[in-house]
Amino acid sequence: MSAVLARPAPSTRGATLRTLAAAEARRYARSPVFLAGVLLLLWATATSLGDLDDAGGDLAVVPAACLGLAGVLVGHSLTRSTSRPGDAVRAAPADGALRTAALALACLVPGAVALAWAVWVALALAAADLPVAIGWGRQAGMLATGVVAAVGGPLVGVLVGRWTRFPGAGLVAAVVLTGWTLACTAGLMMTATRWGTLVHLNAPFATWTSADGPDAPPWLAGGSPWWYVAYQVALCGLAATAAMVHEATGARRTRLWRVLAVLAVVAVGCLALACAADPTRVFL
Amino acid sequence: MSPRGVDPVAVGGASAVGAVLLAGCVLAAGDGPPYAWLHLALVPPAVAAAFVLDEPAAAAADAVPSSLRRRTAGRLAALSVPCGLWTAGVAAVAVRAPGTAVGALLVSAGGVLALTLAAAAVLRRAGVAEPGEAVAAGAGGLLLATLVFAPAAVPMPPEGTLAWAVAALAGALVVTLATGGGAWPRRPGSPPRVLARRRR
Repeated sequence: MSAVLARPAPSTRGATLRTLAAAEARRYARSPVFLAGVLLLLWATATSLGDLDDAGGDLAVVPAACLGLAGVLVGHSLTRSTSRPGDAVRAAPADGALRTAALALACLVPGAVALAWAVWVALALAAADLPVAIGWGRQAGMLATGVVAAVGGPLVGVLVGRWTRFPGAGLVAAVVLTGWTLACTAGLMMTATRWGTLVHLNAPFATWTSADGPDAPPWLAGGSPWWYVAYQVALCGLAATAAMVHEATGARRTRLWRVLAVLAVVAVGCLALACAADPTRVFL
Repeated sequence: MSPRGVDPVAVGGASAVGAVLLAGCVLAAGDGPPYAWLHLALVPPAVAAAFVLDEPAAAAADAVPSSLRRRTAGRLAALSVPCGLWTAGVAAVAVRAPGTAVGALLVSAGGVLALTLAAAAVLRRAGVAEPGEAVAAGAGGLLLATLVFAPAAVPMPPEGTLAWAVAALAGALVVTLATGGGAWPRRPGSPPRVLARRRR
């Protein structure tokens, strides 16, 4: 066996992962869909910030859509592009699980952009000196949901790219995520109970403000934003781990299945804690 | 004509997802037409339309005596599946919610599909053998973006029907132009042009 085909020693796996992740991050940052999403994010935020009110936390839908939803397509296309060369990629000194981990790390690129966006919006909200009916802790949690969604979308794209081969699978995944989110808005139309909060918050992304009619005053939904963020992070972990399971073999595959089980329990626990908070709606 | 060469997984799979979403629309139509869900259900038919013109063996197909327009016309028959599902789904929604703007929904879907097909035809004309993935991402991404940022845009309420009708006609015109002027206008019984030149 030649030195090129040899698998890296455990001590070099970290260095290989860093190198691969940097290469994948560059590819992600150069993706036209990602760049279009960033432009849309800037435009949508600039137009929204001119009309700020104390429900500014719901701006989180902007990065969730521009970076998260678009990221499903980016993550899927990046993953498929590394699968197509087949033998050439398999001959590289990195196994499939390591390549998937590098792709998952590249999904932090939209997360970094979304984080910068969240800081920008938080500063704009602070500078506007609005009467904050929500409270800064809750407001920050609501903004954080958009940041995590910006990472979660691409991770779902990587997951779908690893496990499916049919054309258009990335877009179908984006449609499923949108449908799941849309279906869960039914929770906002239910009475303010913990069951209604569970229906509302089990979605991968949730908006927090709503109203009973076009002329009715807006209100803030019940539930804990920070536990919801923890639930979203657990979902991200589930997507990344499930993507890595596809290429893993032997003991590593068994270990990843255990991690998946633990993450699933953590996700359910975080969702339960998010819904356990006071379900009473706060009128703004 | 038969839709020979069309990827049944892409068109059939997208149509199946669309059928599931339309079934959800019918269930949700109890309190009125669920326009947001119908907007989402329009994405899979658009994806199906994007993949209809994919020709993985384009290099070989271009060398046979059959024009691009003729091959495209044959492939368009595959669109009957998503179009039929959409029409049936909208009709079923209208039965449950009588106020549904059936005409506007059909025309706006026609516009979306025609524009998607036009984009695929232009790329195919430009030499891209499989424009489906890129066009599906563009069309689907735009539909999802409008669902989030401009939900009133698609499907249009009745006052926007004319705009979508114009879009549908423009899309059809672009498809016709992009697939025309092929190097192989086949006449029944006549040899391919290359063979005719060699004989001379």
